[in-house]
Amino acid sequence: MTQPTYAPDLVEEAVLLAEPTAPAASAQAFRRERDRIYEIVDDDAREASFRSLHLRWFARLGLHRVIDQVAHQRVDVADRVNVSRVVRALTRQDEGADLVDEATLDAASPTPTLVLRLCPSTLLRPDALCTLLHNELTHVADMLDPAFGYERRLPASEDGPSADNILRDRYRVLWDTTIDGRLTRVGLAGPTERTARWREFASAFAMLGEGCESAFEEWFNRTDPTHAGLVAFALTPPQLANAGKPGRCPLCRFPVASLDARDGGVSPATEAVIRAAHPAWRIELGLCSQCLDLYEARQPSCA
Amino acid sequence: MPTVKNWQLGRDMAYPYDARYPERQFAFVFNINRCIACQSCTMACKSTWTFSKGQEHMWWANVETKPYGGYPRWWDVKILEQLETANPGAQVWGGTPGDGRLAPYGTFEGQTIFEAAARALSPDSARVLGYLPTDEEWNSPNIYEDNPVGKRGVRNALDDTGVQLPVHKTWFFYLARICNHCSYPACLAACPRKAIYKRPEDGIVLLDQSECRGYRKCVEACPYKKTMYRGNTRTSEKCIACYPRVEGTDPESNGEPMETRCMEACIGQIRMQGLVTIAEDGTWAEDRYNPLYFLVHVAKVALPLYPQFGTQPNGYYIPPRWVPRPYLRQMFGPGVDLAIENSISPSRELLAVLQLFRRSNRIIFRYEIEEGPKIYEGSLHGRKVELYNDTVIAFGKDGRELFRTTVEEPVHVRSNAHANSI
Repeated sequence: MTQPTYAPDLVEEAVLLAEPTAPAASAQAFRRERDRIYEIVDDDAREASFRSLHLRWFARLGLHRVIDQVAHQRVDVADRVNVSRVVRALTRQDEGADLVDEATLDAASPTPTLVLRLCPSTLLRPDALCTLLHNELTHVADMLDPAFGYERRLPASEDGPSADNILRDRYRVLWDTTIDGRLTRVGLAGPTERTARWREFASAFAMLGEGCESAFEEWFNRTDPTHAGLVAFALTPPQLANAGKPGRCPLCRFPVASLDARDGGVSPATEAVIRAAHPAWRIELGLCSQCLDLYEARQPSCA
Repeated sequence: MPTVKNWQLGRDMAYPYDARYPERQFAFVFNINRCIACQSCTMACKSTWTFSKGQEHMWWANVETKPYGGYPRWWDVKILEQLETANPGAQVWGGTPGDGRLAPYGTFEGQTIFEAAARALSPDSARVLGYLPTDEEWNSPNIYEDNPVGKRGVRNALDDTGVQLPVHKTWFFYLARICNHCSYPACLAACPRKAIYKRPEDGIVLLDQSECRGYRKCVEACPYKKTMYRGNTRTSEKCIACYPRVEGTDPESNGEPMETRCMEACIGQIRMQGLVTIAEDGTWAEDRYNPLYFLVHVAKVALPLYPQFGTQPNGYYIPPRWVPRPYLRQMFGPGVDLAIENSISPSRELLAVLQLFRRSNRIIFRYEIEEGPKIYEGSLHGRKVELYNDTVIAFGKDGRELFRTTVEEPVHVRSNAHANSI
């Protein structure tokens, strides 16, 4: 990997944020030089001078140091990408890494371009930046690893965009869980990563019930995850596959992980209310928990 | 540091510059009981002043939901936290709200943003206590304001103690904001280039772009976060109070002072803006029949926003009646109880003055009331209420009548002149 290139707006904002922490004499020197640039009349020349000044101070303040260190450590990524660009992220949620498609299609440059999106303020927090970079670069390493078998598109669901969102969210949480596990074992994860990831996992896989924690442990400790394995679990967690019949509720037609299986089933009175609305429905077809709640609630008012 | 008289705090306070007061002061009253957050003001301002490249994140006028929201996010929570950290447990008011013009809300015994900074150890904060909002805080005005969310920084989880409140009373209100064109501007105090100045003729606070060198000290210092940095010009910008309109030099004005774009666009009729006469000591000179003077100093229904910051803001708010008093006292000071009492049971004169809101886009300098017949008698909140259909007449700068209106909303019957006449 060649030396990363930095977006000018990221560089400028990081330098401006770092300036108050610089020694007073340095900060004054920076400001004197910067103030003078405002006097340049030609727009292009002024812009070039600003960029040059900020880039020099970016280096002088050592704001590139953590990225250089991590890039040096991550030979698994560095050997497989040609160029890396660091651009400005507007929010913390936007921070991350991507491989750009266009570069992979360029015959003259067959290795892809790595793009890192970072908030300027993150460059001023070395520990947080280091943790973030290792996390993101492990994603990139997986994407570049043939054994992982990464594919850009997840299988489309017949149940519409909400099911696609659920699958994508589960896939993300699973992948992040394996990455946190791998980074924790080599001492590169932050102190709170495991707890935060468990909270996300428990939310995304709440349907696993008591088996949720053991599933989390299993994925956290996994050393060789594959894209296909992550997709398979995200689509149909094994515990869920044994729990009931996934499909659609015959009444509301919404996709459900399992039809209602509560003890006692459907009372005759409720069945009558359902049959009044859905004459073709039979009790063997089942129904989802939401529909059962709905028709049980309707029953007293009908009586 | 010199001291200046801050009548909203009822005492002198430290300020980096000696006191100098304008002849008149740009001021406004927002009746936020009426605000529906339609954002007409926001868009009127945006489409007039901040529609260019580099200004995407700028909203000189904005409306935010309280207590959840803010633009930039958590602006008031953050500065209140900073003040509390600087002066723990002592940000309190003493005395009692009174009738005088010099200490109408009692005396603030805590520290202003100027005083807290002077006591802080860091030389960088020697002038004003403040902070620089992040990109994230500027970028998404109103985000999540209408959504129930969990604790700050905790994703995918709702607050699990919210439902354990003894009585689950929900409340919110909309807070419309522009630059307060403060009498003691923090932005002006913080600028190392002296690029910010207060106009002697109308007290409007302006930022000289040719002098600004993008230090962003003004952005850091303004406790209301109404100065904003523009990345592509590398200078700061702020609300200019539509000064060509206020001056009467706008082509539309025909030489007569007009209210700002955000005021004019207000369909909820919550806004009135004007110019008040300033006395030599910086207080409002008595001007009994100026509607702003009446609302602030006579009826005492309009209160400054966070007066404890110490900038003596010139934006005044008629506080929302349904909001818990401790929250309102923190936001508007100890005058809240009297303000709500007076606005719930308005006097005959107040009821007439409230009819002046948004009947014209010209600045009202004086009003007169012609008494009308009694049209209603009853009781409200345990008090006897009498309504009179008084006529209130508004006058402009040159004493010419601008308009007249009545307490009882007039009914206009259109003639049957067109096919679609009702």
